[in-house]
Amino acid sequence: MENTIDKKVDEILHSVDGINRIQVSPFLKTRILASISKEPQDSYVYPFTNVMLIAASIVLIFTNIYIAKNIVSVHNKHLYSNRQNVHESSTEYQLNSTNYEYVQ
Amino acid sequence: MNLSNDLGYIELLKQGNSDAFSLLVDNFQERIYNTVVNITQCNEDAEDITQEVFLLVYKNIQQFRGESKLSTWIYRIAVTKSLEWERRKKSKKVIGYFKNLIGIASLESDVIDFVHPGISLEKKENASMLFKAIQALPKNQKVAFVFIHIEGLTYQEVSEIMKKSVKSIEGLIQRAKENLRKILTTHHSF
Repeated sequence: MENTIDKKVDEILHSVDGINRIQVSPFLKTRILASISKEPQDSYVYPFTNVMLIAASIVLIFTNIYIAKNIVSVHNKHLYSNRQNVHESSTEYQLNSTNYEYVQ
Repeated sequence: MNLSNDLGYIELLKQGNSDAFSLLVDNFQERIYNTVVNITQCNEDAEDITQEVFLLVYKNIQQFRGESKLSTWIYRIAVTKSLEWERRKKSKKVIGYFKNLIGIASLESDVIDFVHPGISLEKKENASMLFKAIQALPKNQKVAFVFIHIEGLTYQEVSEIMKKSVKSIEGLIQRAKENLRKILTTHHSF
Protein backbone atom coordinates (compact mmCIF):
# COMPACT_ATOMS: atom_id res chain seq x y z
CA MET A 1 0.00 0.00 0.00
CA GLU A 2 2.80 2.40 1.03
CA ASN A 3 4.64 1.59 -2.17
CA THR A 4 1.59 2.46 -4.25
CA ILE A 5 1.27 5.83 -2.46
CA ASP A 6 4.98 6.57 -2.93
CA LYS A 7 4.73 5.66 -6.59
CA LYS A 8 1.72 7.94 -7.05
CA VAL A 9 3.44 10.83 -5.21
CA ASP A 10 6.51 10.39 -7.43
CA GLU A 11 4.27 10.44 -10.48
CA ILE A 12 2.65 13.68 -9.27
CA LEU A 13 6.03 15.28 -8.50
CA HIS A 14 7.22 14.46 -12.01
CA SER A 15 4.04 15.63 -13.71
CA VAL A 16 5.61 19.03 -14.43
CA ASP A 17 8.66 17.54 -16.16
CA GLY A 18 8.87 18.75 -19.72
CA ILE A 19 6.22 21.40 -19.16
CA ASN A 20 5.78 23.79 -22.10
CA ARG A 21 5.88 27.52 -21.69
CA ILE A 22 2.55 29.30 -22.07
CA GLN A 23 2.39 31.46 -25.17
CA VAL A 24 1.60 35.07 -24.29
CA SER A 25 -1.24 36.95 -25.88
CA PRO A 26 -0.12 38.94 -28.94
CA PHE A 27 -1.76 42.01 -27.38
CA LEU A 28 0.33 41.86 -24.20
CA LYS A 29 3.28 43.68 -25.78
CA THR A 30 0.97 46.42 -27.10
CA ARG A 31 -0.54 46.80 -23.62
CA ILE A 32 2.88 47.01 -21.98
CA LEU A 33 4.25 49.53 -24.47
CA ALA A 34 1.07 51.64 -24.21
CA SER A 35 1.33 51.76 -20.41
CA ILE A 36 5.03 52.64 -20.62
CA SER A 37 4.38 55.51 -23.03
CA LYS A 38 1.99 57.10 -20.49
CA GLU A 39 4.46 56.93 -17.59
CA PRO A 40 7.41 59.25 -17.06
CA GLN A 41 10.72 57.55 -16.40
CA ASP A 42 12.22 58.20 -12.95
CA SER A 43 15.14 60.55 -13.13
CA TYR A 44 17.75 61.77 -10.71
CA VAL A 45 17.37 65.31 -12.13
CA TYR A 46 14.46 67.00 -10.38
CA PRO A 47 12.31 69.37 -12.43
CA PHE A 48 12.62 73.08 -11.49
CA THR A 49 9.12 73.19 -9.88
CA ASN A 50 10.03 70.30 -7.57
CA VAL A 51 13.24 72.02 -6.48
CA MET A 52 11.25 75.21 -5.71
CA LEU A 53 8.67 73.20 -3.73
CA ILE A 54 11.37 71.45 -1.70
CA ALA A 55 13.10 74.78 -0.96
CA ALA A 56 9.80 76.38 0.11
CA SER A 57 9.08 73.42 2.42
CA ILE A 58 12.50 73.72 4.07
CA VAL A 59 12.03 77.48 4.64
CA LEU A 60 8.57 76.80 6.10
CA ILE A 61 9.93 74.15 8.48
CA PHE A 62 12.71 76.48 9.73
CA THR A 63 10.25 79.38 10.16
CA ASN A 64 7.97 77.14 12.22
CA ILE A 65 10.89 75.99 14.40
CA TYR A 66 11.95 79.66 14.94
CA ILE A 67 8.40 80.74 15.89
CA ALA A 68 7.95 77.76 18.20
CA LYS A 69 11.27 78.53 19.89
CA ASN A 70 10.19 82.15 20.53
CA ILE A 71 6.84 81.09 21.97
CA VAL A 72 8.57 78.70 24.38
CA SER A 73 11.07 81.39 25.35
CA VAL A 74 8.28 83.95 26.16
CA HIS A 75 6.40 81.25 28.07
CA ASN A 76 9.52 80.39 30.07
CA LYS A 77 10.05 84.09 30.88
CA HIS A 78 6.50 84.25 32.31
CA LEU A 79 7.06 81.08 34.24
CA TYR A 80 10.29 82.48 35.65
CA SER A 81 8.66 85.74 36.77
CA ASN A 82 5.73 83.84 38.34
CA ARG A 83 8.18 81.66 40.20
CA GLN A 84 10.09 84.73 41.35
CA ASN A 85 6.87 86.36 42.66
CA VAL A 86 6.07 83.27 44.68
CA HIS A 87 9.60 83.15 46.00
CA GLU A 88 9.49 86.81 47.04
CA SER A 89 6.12 86.39 48.77
CA SER A 90 7.34 83.36 50.65
CA THR A 91 10.36 85.19 52.02
CA GLU A 92 8.26 88.21 52.91
CA TYR A 93 5.82 86.17 55.01
CA GLN A 94 6.77 82.86 56.54
CA LEU A 95 3.85 80.73 57.53
CA ASN A 96 4.33 79.04 60.82
CA SER A 97 2.59 75.73 60.79
CA THR A 98 2.16 75.38 64.52
CA ASN A 99 0.60 78.68 65.57
CA TYR A 100 -0.75 79.91 62.25
CA GLU A 101 0.91 83.24 62.77
CA TYR A 102 2.63 85.29 60.20
CA VAL A 103 6.23 85.84 61.08
CA GLN A 104 8.12 88.69 59.49
CA MET B 1 22.88 39.69 -28.60
CA ASN B 2 22.88 38.98 -24.85
CA LEU B 3 20.73 41.81 -23.54
CA SER B 4 21.49 41.05 -19.90
CA ASN B 5 25.15 42.06 -20.13
CA ASP B 6 25.20 44.59 -22.96
CA LEU B 7 26.14 47.90 -21.33
CA GLY B 8 25.34 49.89 -24.47
CA TYR B 9 21.88 48.39 -24.57
CA ILE B 10 21.30 49.10 -20.85
CA GLU B 11 22.39 52.69 -21.45
CA LEU B 12 19.77 52.98 -24.22
CA LEU B 13 17.14 51.70 -21.77
CA LYS B 14 18.25 54.32 -19.23
CA GLN B 15 17.83 57.02 -21.86
CA GLY B 16 14.24 55.86 -22.37
CA ASN B 17 14.79 54.61 -25.93
CA SER B 18 11.49 53.10 -27.08
CA ASP B 19 13.08 50.62 -29.51
CA ALA B 20 15.28 49.28 -26.71
CA PHE B 21 12.20 48.75 -24.53
CA SER B 22 10.35 47.06 -27.35
CA LEU B 23 13.27 44.63 -27.68
CA LEU B 24 13.27 44.10 -23.91
CA VAL B 25 9.56 43.22 -23.94
CA ASP B 26 10.10 40.84 -26.88
CA ASN B 27 12.88 39.05 -25.00
CA PHE B 28 11.38 38.82 -21.54
CA GLN B 29 7.58 38.93 -21.73
CA GLU B 30 7.15 35.16 -22.11
CA ARG B 31 9.60 34.28 -19.32
CA ILE B 32 8.11 36.84 -16.93
CA TYR B 33 4.51 35.91 -17.77
CA ASN B 34 5.24 32.20 -17.14
CA THR B 35 7.03 32.93 -13.84
CA VAL B 36 4.07 35.03 -12.70
CA VAL B 37 1.54 32.35 -13.75
CA ASN B 38 3.47 29.60 -11.98
CA ILE B 39 3.78 31.55 -8.73
CA THR B 40 0.29 33.08 -8.61
CA GLN B 41 -1.50 30.20 -10.39
CA CYS B 42 -3.90 32.70 -11.86
CA ASN B 43 -4.08 33.06 -15.64
CA GLU B 44 -6.49 35.98 -15.40
CA ASP B 45 -4.30 38.33 -13.37
CA ALA B 46 -0.91 37.21 -14.75
CA GLU B 47 -1.09 39.62 -17.71
CA ASP B 48 -1.80 42.58 -15.41
CA ILE B 49 1.09 41.62 -13.12
CA THR B 50 3.44 41.17 -16.12
CA GLN B 51 2.43 44.62 -17.35
CA GLU B 52 3.16 46.06 -13.89
CA VAL B 53 6.57 44.36 -13.86
CA PHE B 54 7.60 45.99 -17.16
CA LEU B 55 6.26 49.34 -16.01
CA LEU B 56 8.42 49.08 -12.88
CA VAL B 57 11.43 48.11 -14.99
CA TYR B 58 10.86 51.20 -17.14
CA LYS B 59 10.39 53.54 -14.18
CA ASN B 60 13.29 52.22 -12.11
CA ILE B 61 15.87 51.39 -14.78
CA GLN B 62 17.98 54.36 -13.54
CA GLN B 63 18.44 52.47 -10.28
CA PHE B 64 19.81 49.38 -12.05
CA ARG B 65 23.52 49.52 -11.22
CA GLY B 66 24.60 46.51 -13.24
CA GLU B 67 25.69 44.54 -10.16
CA SER B 68 23.58 41.63 -11.41
CA LYS B 69 22.38 40.58 -14.83
CA LEU B 70 19.43 42.54 -16.24
CA SER B 71 17.42 39.29 -16.45
CA THR B 72 18.11 38.57 -12.74
CA TRP B 73 16.91 42.06 -11.79
CA ILE B 74 13.71 41.67 -13.86
CA TYR B 75 13.02 38.21 -12.38
CA ARG B 76 13.40 39.69 -8.87
CA ILE B 77 10.79 42.35 -9.66
CA ALA B 78 8.47 39.64 -11.06
CA VAL B 79 8.81 37.51 -7.90
CA THR B 80 8.19 40.52 -5.63
CA LYS B 81 5.10 41.58 -7.59
CA SER B 82 3.72 38.02 -7.67
CA LEU B 83 4.16 37.53 -3.91
CA GLU B 84 2.62 40.98 -3.32
CA TRP B 85 -0.39 39.92 -5.38
CA GLU B 86 -0.69 36.74 -3.28
CA ARG B 87 -0.61 38.77 -0.03
CA ARG B 88 -3.36 41.06 -1.33
CA LYS B 89 -5.41 38.01 -2.36
CA LYS B 90 -5.01 36.44 1.09
CA SER B 91 -6.10 39.62 2.87
CA LYS B 92 -9.09 39.89 0.53
CA LYS B 93 -9.98 36.31 1.47
CA VAL B 94 -9.87 37.18 5.19
CA ILE B 95 -12.07 40.26 4.63
CA GLY B 96 -14.45 38.12 2.55
CA TYR B 97 -14.63 35.55 5.33
CA PHE B 98 -15.58 38.19 7.91
CA LYS B 99 -18.09 39.77 5.52
CA ASN B 100 -19.62 36.34 5.13
CA LEU B 101 -19.72 35.91 8.92
CA ILE B 102 -21.72 39.09 9.38
CA GLY B 103 -23.85 38.21 6.36
CA ILE B 104 -22.96 41.02 3.94
CA ALA B 105 -21.34 38.81 1.33
CA SER B 106 -21.84 35.36 0.01
CA LEU B 107 -19.03 32.85 0.46
CA GLU B 108 -17.29 32.38 -2.84
CA SER B 109 -15.46 29.21 -3.54
CA ASP B 110 -11.81 30.26 -3.78
CA VAL B 111 -10.35 26.81 -4.25
CA ILE B 112 -10.12 26.74 -7.99
CA ASP B 113 -8.02 24.00 -9.55
CA PHE B 114 -5.25 25.59 -11.56
CA VAL B 115 -4.89 24.02 -14.96
CA HIS B 116 -1.55 24.88 -16.53
CA PRO B 117 -2.04 25.21 -20.29
CA GLY B 118 1.49 23.92 -20.96
CA ILE B 119 0.86 20.44 -19.55
CA SER B 120 -0.04 17.45 -21.67
CA LEU B 121 -3.54 16.02 -21.26
CA GLU B 122 -2.53 12.77 -19.53
CA LYS B 123 -0.58 14.66 -16.86
CA LYS B 124 -3.20 17.34 -16.22
CA GLU B 125 -4.84 15.68 -13.19
CA ASN B 126 -1.52 14.98 -11.44
CA ALA B 127 -0.18 18.45 -12.25
CA SER B 128 -3.31 20.03 -10.82
CA MET B 129 -2.72 18.17 -7.53
CA LEU B 130 0.92 19.24 -7.55
CA PHE B 131 0.08 22.91 -8.12
CA LYS B 132 -2.41 22.80 -5.24
CA ALA B 133 0.31 21.35 -2.99
CA ILE B 134 2.84 23.98 -4.18
CA GLN B 135 0.45 26.70 -2.97
CA ALA B 136 0.80 25.34 0.57
CA LEU B 137 4.60 25.65 0.60
CA PRO B 138 6.43 28.49 2.41
CA LYS B 139 7.11 31.26 -0.11
CA ASN B 140 10.91 30.76 -0.42
CA GLN B 141 10.50 27.02 -1.06
CA LYS B 142 7.70 27.72 -3.49
CA VAL B 143 9.70 30.27 -5.52
CA ALA B 144 12.78 28.02 -5.61
CA PHE B 145 10.71 24.98 -6.65
CA VAL B 146 8.93 26.93 -9.40
CA PHE B 147 12.20 28.27 -10.82
CA ILE B 148 14.06 24.95 -10.74
CA HIS B 149 11.38 22.39 -11.57
CA ILE B 150 8.88 24.36 -13.64
CA GLU B 151 10.86 27.21 -15.22
CA GLY B 152 13.94 25.04 -15.68
CA LEU B 153 16.44 27.62 -14.40
CA THR B 154 19.81 26.48 -13.04
CA TYR B 155 20.67 26.54 -9.31
CA GLN B 156 23.21 29.27 -10.03
CA GLU B 157 20.59 31.47 -11.74
CA VAL B 158 18.08 30.94 -8.91
CA SER B 159 20.72 31.70 -6.29
CA GLU B 160 21.38 35.06 -8.01
CA ILE B 161 17.69 35.89 -8.26
CA MET B 162 16.94 34.96 -4.64
CA LYS B 163 20.23 36.43 -3.33
CA LYS B 164 21.13 33.15 -1.60
CA SER B 165 23.98 30.69 -1.98
CA VAL B 166 23.62 27.66 -4.26
CA LYS B 167 23.78 25.48 -1.11
CA SER B 168 20.77 27.33 0.37
CA ILE B 169 18.80 26.82 -2.84
CA GLU B 170 19.61 23.10 -2.74
CA GLY B 171 18.38 23.03 0.86
CA LEU B 172 15.19 24.88 -0.10
CA ILE B 173 14.48 22.42 -2.93
CA GLN B 174 15.14 19.46 -0.63
CA ARG B 175 12.72 20.81 2.01
CA ALA B 176 10.16 21.75 -0.67
CA LYS B 177 10.16 18.16 -1.98
CA GLU B 178 9.82 16.72 1.53
CA ASN B 179 6.93 19.08 2.27
CA LEU B 180 5.23 18.32 -1.04
CA ARG B 181 5.47 14.60 -0.27
CA LYS B 182 3.88 15.16 3.15
CA ILE B 183 1.10 17.36 1.73
CA LEU B 184 0.33 14.98 -1.12
CA THR B 185 0.29 11.91 1.15
CA THR B 186 -1.90 13.53 3.80
CA HIS B 187 -4.39 15.42 1.67
CA HIS B 188 -4.96 13.03 -1.17
CA SER B 189 -6.36 9.58 -1.01
CA PHE B 190 -5.09 7.60 -3.96
